Amino acid sequence: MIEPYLHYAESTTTYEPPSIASLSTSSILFTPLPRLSDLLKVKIPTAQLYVRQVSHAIAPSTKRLDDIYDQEQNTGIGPSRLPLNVDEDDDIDTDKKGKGKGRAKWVSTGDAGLDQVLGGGIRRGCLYEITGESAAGKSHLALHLALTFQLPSLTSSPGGSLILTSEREISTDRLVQLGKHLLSIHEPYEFGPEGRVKNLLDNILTNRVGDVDALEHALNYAVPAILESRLNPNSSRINQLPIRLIILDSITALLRGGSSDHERPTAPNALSLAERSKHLCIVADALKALAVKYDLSILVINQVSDVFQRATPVSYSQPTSSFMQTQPFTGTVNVNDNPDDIAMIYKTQSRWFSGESDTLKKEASLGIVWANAVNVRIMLSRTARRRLVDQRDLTSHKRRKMENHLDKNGLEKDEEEDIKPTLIRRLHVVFSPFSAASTIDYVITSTGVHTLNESYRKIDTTSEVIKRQIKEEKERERSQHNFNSSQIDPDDEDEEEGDEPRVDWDEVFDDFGELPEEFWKGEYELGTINGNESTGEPNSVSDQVSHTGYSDLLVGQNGDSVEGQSAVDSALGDGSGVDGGSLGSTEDST
Amino acid sequence: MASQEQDPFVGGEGEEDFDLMAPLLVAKLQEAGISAQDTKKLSDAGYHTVEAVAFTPKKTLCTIKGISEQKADKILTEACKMVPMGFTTATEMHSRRSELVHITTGSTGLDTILGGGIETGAITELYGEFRTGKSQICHTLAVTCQLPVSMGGGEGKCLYIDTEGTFRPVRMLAVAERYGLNGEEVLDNIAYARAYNADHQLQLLVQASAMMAESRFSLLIVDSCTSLYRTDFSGRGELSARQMHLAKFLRTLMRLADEFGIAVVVTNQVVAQVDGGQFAVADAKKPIGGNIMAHASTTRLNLRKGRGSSRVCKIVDSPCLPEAEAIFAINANGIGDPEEMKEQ
Repeated sequence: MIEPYLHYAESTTTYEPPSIASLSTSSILFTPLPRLSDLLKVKIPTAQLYVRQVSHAIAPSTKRLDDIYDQEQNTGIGPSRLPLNVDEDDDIDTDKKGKGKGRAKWVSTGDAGLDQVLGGGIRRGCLYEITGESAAGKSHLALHLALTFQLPSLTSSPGGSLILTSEREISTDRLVQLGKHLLSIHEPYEFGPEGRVKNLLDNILTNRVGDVDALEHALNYAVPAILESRLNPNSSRINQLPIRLIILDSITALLRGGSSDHERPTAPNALSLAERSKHLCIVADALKALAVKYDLSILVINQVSDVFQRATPVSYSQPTSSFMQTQPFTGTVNVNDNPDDIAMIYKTQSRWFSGESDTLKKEASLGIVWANAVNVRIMLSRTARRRLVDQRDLTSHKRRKMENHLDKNGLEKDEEEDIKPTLIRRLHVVFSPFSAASTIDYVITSTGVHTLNESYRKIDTTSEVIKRQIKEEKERERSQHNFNSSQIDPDDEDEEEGDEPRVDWDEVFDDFGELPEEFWKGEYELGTINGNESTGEPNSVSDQVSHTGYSDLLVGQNGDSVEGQSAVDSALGDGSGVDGGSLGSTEDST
Repeated sequence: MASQEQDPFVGGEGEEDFDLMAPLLVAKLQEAGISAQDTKKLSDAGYHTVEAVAFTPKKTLCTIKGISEQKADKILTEACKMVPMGFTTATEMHSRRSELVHITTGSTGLDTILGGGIETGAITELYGEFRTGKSQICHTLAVTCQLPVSMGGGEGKCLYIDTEGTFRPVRMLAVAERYGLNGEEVLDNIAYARAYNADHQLQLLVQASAMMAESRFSLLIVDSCTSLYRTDFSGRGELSARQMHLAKFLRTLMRLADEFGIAVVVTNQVVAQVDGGQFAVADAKKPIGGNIMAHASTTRLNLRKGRGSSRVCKIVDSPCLPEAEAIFAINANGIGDPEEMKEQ
């Protein structure tokens, strides 16, 4: 390829000026005017005229947005100009603004509730982030989507997936199980699905990336090579789909484990944070370039850090042990000097996009750089609530009393196997260009991710943030006045309950499923429930339905831990990987 | 039904023509448009195969004299097209996983919910209060990992890193007797180290990898992984340093598990949540270590006490196993099934 910028050295040594026709358009357009006029031996106005004429000749025709939109809907050709498979049934759906598969850029997730909360499904060409605490179901959701992307009934252009893993390999057992169920739900045929499940797995490619450099290398060279090779239909491989989804599980693990192996791990300082930001920008750019060029979706899995309640804003104390040998990056602004700067502190800004909410005192990791790089942020969390759900049809059940247990013994047993106390999880769309901030509850069963009906809630982010701020200020005042308080103020909790609509189902706090079987059957052997003697009546427990999580009560109520002013608070300036789930140095048990 | 499942996945090798290819000489790049001079420069610099070039970072290639950044870009693009670069299909991975070794825990109930036993190549975390059986499981595993694979073992030695001083070889002799192994040999195959502080704990892993390169190990136990961190780092001020250190330790463990195909078992302590006034369960316990610990372990098992000598184990976090509970007992000869089950 000829370098567009003409150096003097490359010009001909003869005194004859090259004719305008012998230059490439890029040479004409990119060479500065003085040099161009020298080379062609013409005056500058003439050279200007040449440049103008060439620009006019090669300028693309402009289009109206309406035309582009219609073109996309009808012909299914995306901006990358790669022809997509057009489904004949699309004609019916193109008029609807709904979530039909006719919308060429959208891929349905297979679940109506999920589609609703995402604004139509997963959109190609966008960078999605799935974040959440451990065991929230992030990798599982990614696997679920890797399978739904391949089903022709859910998208007009099914495609395979590329999964890059950094911590552990994908769980292929679960993939097989999910694949079977998804096929039986969305594409049931008469014959068994085993061979077709293999097809599904054949279209999922996976590889390990050990560190950030390996990831960048893969994104720049290996991944494009694979994407290109899958675009050309290869006759020797039937059922091979082009890649339409890239999953990175997870990006936090690449940037958290310590930069180099030979250094002692120290607290994050300014230099390492800057380096981390650089890597994040490079990776995000590479991913988005791939998304646009090859018309695919990108899913990146992120982790969370805890959010600490601060008694007073930003201060820093000396560490007491020799392990802290470098000054951590404080990233602080001394608020007392300049009260206007409080807006610049990460904590103030992150309230809007970090995924923290009343019920979840955790925020997405990797700070503001990454938050600005993603298009959609989805935060998954485990609520502490469990509900009896029939695994087959997801109807909820109330807990039965003892009497029913004895009748129809055989029938009870069959039903019981399918009705299990299932953990309710929450999917929170923190920000998205396609849908309002909202939450929806879901459960994970053997057949995959299922949202619960009637659990979709829109969130007004502004009022949420204001509410939280008022609450925090109240907390601060209270902790300053009342050092020994470790009781939850009952008045405040009642205010909380008013926000959540009453649920009719028997939902109980049971995050790790520690309540015994008998409890779900209707007999209670627990000592006291909220101060009342257990009466065996289900109502006494269901009254306690409210929506706070564990960490809500652990942090902020324990007077000791909140008062400590620490470097960690300031090191959180960039929301870097500071975690401390439990701080109970006084309540240890081994 | 399991065999029907396997059939579509096993025996599909014909499709992948990337496997078993002889390495390509770097001269092959000329077909893609790289000039002969450039390929000669590459082979002079020591890169004789296309594979060697494809896996090299761009910065390193640019250090070769005569290869500019654009050239390195082009070379890498073409090289990566020719070489599979390590991507495998999920199908292949699934058939490989069916050969994965699981180490039996000694209790059939526990093995069942774990899908055969403790998985090799992954980190399993056991957490629970005191007297729930964490160290007992570790002692039993230290012996069962030496059993042949046909008996549910790992056919390798065990490395035991102890931080609390709870190592009791006499327990292992009892387990060895149960399986009919020679007590002396069993103890010989367990490499024991006592860690005295968090740095030392990390240091031990360096020695561990040296040992593992020499002879076959199948299990690494760290009991307990977090107790030293609790005492070495105190207070909020050192929280981030503690977590960074812990993250590095866990990443090293993960690398060891990957590189040598060993099972890694770590035990963790719990902290009580005092302000659990809202909850139906009075005494909620949470494992320590925060988000770093939670994300690093592949499988998390919650242990709690049952009646008498029986204990209940619950899977809390696993990529493929559903939430399930199993009851096991701590017997004189290690972990086993509780008496009620045996009587049936």
